[in-house]
Amino acid sequence: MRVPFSFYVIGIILMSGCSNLSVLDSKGTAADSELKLLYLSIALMVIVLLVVFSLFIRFLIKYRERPGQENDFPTQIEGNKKLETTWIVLPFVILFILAVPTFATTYQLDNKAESMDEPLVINVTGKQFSWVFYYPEFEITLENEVKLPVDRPVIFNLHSEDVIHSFWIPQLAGKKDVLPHKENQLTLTPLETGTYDGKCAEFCGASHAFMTFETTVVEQETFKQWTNVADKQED
Amino acid sequence: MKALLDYFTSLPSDILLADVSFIIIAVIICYLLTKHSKWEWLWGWITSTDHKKIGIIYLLVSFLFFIRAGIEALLIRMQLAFPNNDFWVFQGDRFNQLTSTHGTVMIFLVATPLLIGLMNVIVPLQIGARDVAFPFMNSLSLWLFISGGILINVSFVAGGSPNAGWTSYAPLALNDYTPGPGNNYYPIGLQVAGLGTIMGGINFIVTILKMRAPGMRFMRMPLSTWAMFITSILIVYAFSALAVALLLLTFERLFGTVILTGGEGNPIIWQHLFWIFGHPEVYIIALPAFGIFSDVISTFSKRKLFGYPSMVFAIILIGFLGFMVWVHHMFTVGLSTNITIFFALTTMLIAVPTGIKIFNWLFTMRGGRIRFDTPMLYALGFIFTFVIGGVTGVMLSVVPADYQYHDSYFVVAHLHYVIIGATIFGVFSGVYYWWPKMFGKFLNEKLGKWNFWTFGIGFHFTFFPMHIMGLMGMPRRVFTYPEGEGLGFLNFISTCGAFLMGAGVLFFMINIYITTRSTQKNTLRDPWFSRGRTLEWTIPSPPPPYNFARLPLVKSREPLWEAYENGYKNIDFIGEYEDIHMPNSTSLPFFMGIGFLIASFGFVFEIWVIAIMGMAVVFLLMGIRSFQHKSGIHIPKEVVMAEDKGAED
Repeated sequence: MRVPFSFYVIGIILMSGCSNLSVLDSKGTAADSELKLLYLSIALMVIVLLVVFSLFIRFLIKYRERPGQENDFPTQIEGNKKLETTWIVLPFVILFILAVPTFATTYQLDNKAESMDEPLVINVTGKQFSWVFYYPEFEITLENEVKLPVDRPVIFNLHSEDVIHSFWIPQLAGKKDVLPHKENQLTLTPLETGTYDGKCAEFCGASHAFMTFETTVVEQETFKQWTNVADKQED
Repeated sequence: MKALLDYFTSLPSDILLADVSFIIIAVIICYLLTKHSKWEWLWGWITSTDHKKIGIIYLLVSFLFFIRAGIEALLIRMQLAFPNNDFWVFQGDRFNQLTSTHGTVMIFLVATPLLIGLMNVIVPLQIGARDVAFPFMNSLSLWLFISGGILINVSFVAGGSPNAGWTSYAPLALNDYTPGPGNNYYPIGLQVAGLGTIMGGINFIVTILKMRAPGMRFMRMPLSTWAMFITSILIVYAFSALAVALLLLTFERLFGTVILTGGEGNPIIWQHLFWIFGHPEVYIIALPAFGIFSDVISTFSKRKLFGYPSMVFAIILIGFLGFMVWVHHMFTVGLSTNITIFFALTTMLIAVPTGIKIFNWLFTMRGGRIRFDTPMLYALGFIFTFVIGGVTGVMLSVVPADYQYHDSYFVVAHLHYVIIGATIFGVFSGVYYWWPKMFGKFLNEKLGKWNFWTFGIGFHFTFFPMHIMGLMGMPRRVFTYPEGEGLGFLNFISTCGAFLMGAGVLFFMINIYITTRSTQKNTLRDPWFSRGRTLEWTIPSPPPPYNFARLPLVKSREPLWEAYENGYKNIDFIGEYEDIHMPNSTSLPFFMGIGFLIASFGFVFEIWVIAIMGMAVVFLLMGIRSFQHKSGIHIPKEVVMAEDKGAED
């Protein structure tokens, strides 16, 4: 049978690849609130799947044609008002449970920049096929790598020199498109030190696959020292 | 001679292989046609205005495109089978050409026309009509689709394929970033094919509104017909939006307008227009499949469709909401939060009518006598697959979580669950179901089951791991990925699954070959064990050119089933036999297609003489058509009577 077998497959895959599921292993504020909704939606959807699949399997077994029934005329019914109302109303309830936190979190994520305390501003320029990070506060420029202090809010001002790119650090935050004619903002606060992969998620040409960068989150003290040293090197 | 040889040796090996195999196949086909003196037979099909023949050509041609785009899918999977892989020539730009044409061909030249073809055969039969409303336009739709299809397929060997993705986003698709003819093929080829689709939509609307048999009220139409009716309305609106978008892109590329560039113009205009088309397109290719499943599940369960009115209402609601959700493809663009929220809400709402449909299908089976023949297996496989695709769809509507899923492999998994799960399973189900009606022969059931299980299991192995790849942070449309992120194992499973699906399609082809070769005819009106419920099962298989010798009188939603329950063998037909008026066959649509093809090449390569010549051919033929006086042919009463009596016995 296919149903149990595919669950078995899922199990194996989850066990073998768990540590690499970067979206589920969030280390930043934005990714955290996104992950909470992800779990909520999975939980609700698992309920839906269980209901549908158990009815599905039950009906298939119970009402299969058995030998000798070939010339039967089973009773024909038009429908059932109560049942039909049930499966119109219940989805609304599920969607309501899902919609409220969705809307709240969307507003919160999109309007974070105004309420931030001393954010670190970084201007990001995407171009075929690399990323340039500029820290106006320290006048430092980095290519294909970015350094962030832990626990300090960051604002990325995103801008593209050519085609549309998309800025994505799965463990810290979801995507934001990088447009050639308009500046977009992405805000987040890294919560743990470490090295995280960053990538371009919007198809942008021949070497789209190689348009990656490395994000390093360090202790605030280390970050301060680094900015001092980097500043001096620039001079 | 030497120059020619040099040119050929300079070609990359894959294009050379494509050229050679194309020439070999063309030679073999010409040889076979000549040997069996079948050229005249072929011309008869090309010039036919019979909706059944046109539908069958639609199915055949889109199946050929399906093979081509399927081979591309296998090449994509080969390149992605291992981390840091270098398969053949498909890295970087060549890989992008693969993914772009795979998507474009599968959506526009496979999913859409497969269903249009099937419905072309079935809808007139289901409503008791002798043909569609505009047989000439029907033929023209077909040849415009083939013309546009040839154009997009030929790009591979002539000038390079489109390489900006099947969504062809500006500014990447503009001259600055992808110069050359490659990306010209996309808007021009799709424009030609799209014109044909719009005409097809209008044709279906008028046919269903005006050509129904006496007593076939709206609320008595079979679900396939209902679905195609709503789909046709979606086609007219959505493909018009696409036509505008393609026109802007064409102008931008050929004449340097600055509508879609950043700065003076705005590349987001393309995204809006494309998705205003693109999301209804999902329903254009899903609704007819829903219709097919409704008919199949009801027939093979021996039960009346549960909640018919709510099924119709759900289709209408899905069609309506389908136009109000397009921004969910653009959540990460950075539009205002209020807009995002509105579209998240409408997207979630679509789950309600879809849920109605799923539960009605389940409860149709309850209390029935379910048979597991291949059409039903595909319908059941659809329910299993589509529910998974549906719940991931709801997950994608959760905006903040979508920031993570968007443009990752999670989306690739979701869209294949929905499109293969509904459209391709639907077409397989419908083809197995109506094959005896179309050709008077059953497809082999044993091979059908092999076909279903390999394709179905292969499908889940291919696409289920992609959900997880997405959560591991693998973006779409990358031609390689680094080692040591755990992606290698999942990708390898996915590649194996893809080959299993390929084997499934191979079983299907073998099945068609064996069935066509076999001489065992099945001329039963209702070959599915007398379980038929609707009008198409009341006439001979295959139906005569005029379908109905006398018109049926429809008194209920399921006239044939009602007749069976009352102990009759068939329904009542009304009136006396009379001469039947049928449309002439015509070669004009075929030549108009050629005219468009010539013109399109002119536009693609910006050689204006050729473009003008091609358009001149088109307008000349339109002129001829306008002044042509052809009043159709009459099939005499005696012939009709004799044939009808013959079919009775």
